Amino acid sequence: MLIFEVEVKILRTMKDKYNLETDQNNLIFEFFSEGPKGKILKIVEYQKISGRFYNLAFGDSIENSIDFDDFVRTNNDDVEKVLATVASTLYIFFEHHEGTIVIAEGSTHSRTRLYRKYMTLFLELIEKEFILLGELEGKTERFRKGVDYKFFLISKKI
Amino acid sequence: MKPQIIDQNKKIEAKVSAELTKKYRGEIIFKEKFERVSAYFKGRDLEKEIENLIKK
Repeated sequence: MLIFEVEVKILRTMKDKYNLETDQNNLIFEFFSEGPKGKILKIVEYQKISGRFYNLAFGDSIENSIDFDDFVRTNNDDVEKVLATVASTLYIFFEHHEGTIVIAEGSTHSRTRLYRKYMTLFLELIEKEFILLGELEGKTERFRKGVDYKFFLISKKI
Repeated sequence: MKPQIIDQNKKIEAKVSAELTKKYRGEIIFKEKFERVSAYFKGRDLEKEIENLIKK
């Protein structure tokens, strides 16, 4: 399959998202992943680090309890739909928390690389609405393709 | 028309749930992650770093 065809396929899938529920402060979001492993409760949490900086945390519920695991690999055959849903929480978060900056990091190196892959794929689209930065070894810079960042920093363009 | 990650014609919404608000009561859920990320950026003037980057 040509790279272009792969991109179009992913873009189509990325439009598909799960229904979200949030708390009254729009800091916590829940949704259910649905696939071969069944219905799995997922949570996205925006944690205030300091000032206008929030950390994005994301993981699975352990047996639908309020204990969550951000290291688990669900393998529910819906990674693109899950990531599109997490991305959609950013829109809602920024709508209610103007001027903030979100820090994102995968719970594992491979997950951070997965995020980077999608950010690279959608960079042109992301940069129309957001400012995307990368952090590596104590240095922050504008996101560049191919750099193995530890963190990503995202803010909404005003 | 160029494809977009999020369909702009469809408003992105989340249902505000009183149950969810009560369930988490404003507590930090992923505590380890919160502590690790806070520690990593401790002492950094991120605000200034970003201001300088955006100016460039």
